[in-house]
Amino acid sequence: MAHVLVVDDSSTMREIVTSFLSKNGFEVAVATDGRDGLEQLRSDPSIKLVVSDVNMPNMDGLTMAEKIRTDQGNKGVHIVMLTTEDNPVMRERGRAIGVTGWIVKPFRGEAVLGPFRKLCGM
Amino acid sequence: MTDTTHLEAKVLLLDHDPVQLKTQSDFCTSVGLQALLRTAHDALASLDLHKDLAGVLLAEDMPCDGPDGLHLAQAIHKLRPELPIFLRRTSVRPLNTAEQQTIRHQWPTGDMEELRASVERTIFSLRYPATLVQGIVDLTCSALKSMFPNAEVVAESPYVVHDRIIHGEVSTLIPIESTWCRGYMMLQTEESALRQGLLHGMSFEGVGGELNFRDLNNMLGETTNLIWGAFKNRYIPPQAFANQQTQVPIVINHAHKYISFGSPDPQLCIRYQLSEPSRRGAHPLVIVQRFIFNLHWSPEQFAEFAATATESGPTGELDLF
Repeated sequence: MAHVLVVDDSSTMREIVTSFLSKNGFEVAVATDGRDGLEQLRSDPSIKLVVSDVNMPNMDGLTMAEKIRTDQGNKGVHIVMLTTEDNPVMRERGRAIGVTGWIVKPFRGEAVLGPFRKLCGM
Repeated sequence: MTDTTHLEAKVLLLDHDPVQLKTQSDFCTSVGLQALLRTAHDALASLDLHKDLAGVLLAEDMPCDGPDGLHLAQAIHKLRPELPIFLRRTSVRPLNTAEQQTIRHQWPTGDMEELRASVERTIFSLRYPATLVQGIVDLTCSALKSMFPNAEVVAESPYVVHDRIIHGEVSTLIPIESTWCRGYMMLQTEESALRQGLLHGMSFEGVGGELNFRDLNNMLGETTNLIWGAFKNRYIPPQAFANQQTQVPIVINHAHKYISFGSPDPQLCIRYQLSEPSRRGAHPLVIVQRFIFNLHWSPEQFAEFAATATESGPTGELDLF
């Protein structure tokens, strides 16, 4: 089963994304901010895809992505930002960091199910 | 100059003269005021029932407990000083200092142009561009539908309010800053109605946790975040993000459900009704949205920006780099 890490400070968003992915055959772990996300990723090498918000307390999503990419052990992990931000400057920063993709909220599960499965090799 | 939409506003109409009542009712209709006709006896109780008023029209010779309507005006002003009172004069006696502080606008009986000018100057002192109001309604309905996918979402006609009374127990507040405005957006709703809506399946299955007040706060918080994001992506150019300037304190008194932004300008208010299609006639969940551009407001700059803004919303699709 493909393992996805959902990182969002909003418990409502975590519930929405987790509920959808679980129903569609993904195993899902959750984290409440970037710092928590990094810890989860370090402790669980089976995670293939990180779906993360950008604006979060403690550590934002792009900083977390940057740290994931600088860790050699995480080269195979895909990172998708799920955010209300559609700012081209921010998107470009994500691209430069090595983020795999960008979704502007609201989260529409059906629209991302295929690409998520592909990224997880399902 | 951009086209502005003529928003409505609710006022209490306190008059006993049938001819004047008819004249003022017609006047209200002509300028976009929704008149709530009340007697002196139930005027104060009406303030409790209506927390989204824009003003009060009152006759000087209104029969009430005191010698004239001015005593009633002072009682109204004491309860809701933010509401402008328009006094229809029936005498020529000058108002004393205390009365002048209570009555912001007085107009001689029959001079509807004087009343019209006062209403325009006070109640409709800010004009909101029609494209902005429609854009806000569209992006908010879209966000509400995505957070409450099993609810039917209907936006009521937008109107302006001068009241500062909060609707319900759960409210959110987020700054809105662009090159053409600075202020806030609020969402307000009733905790029990939100809980009932989630219990009856308006949102996603399993979302909402135990539906305690923290879960409900989170639900409205995420809805606010979605609307804010959509607003920002459509109406706030990137160069505005670095525009961090001074703020003014926001005053909230939860015990009295009161909030002030330090500005007397009217706030843009829109109410959304969320109902369950399978339970026609059931009490809908009402979500109240307000925009308060108290720090900066330049509709001319908005017009320039709106000409190039795209109206397409997010698709929710993965954009692979």
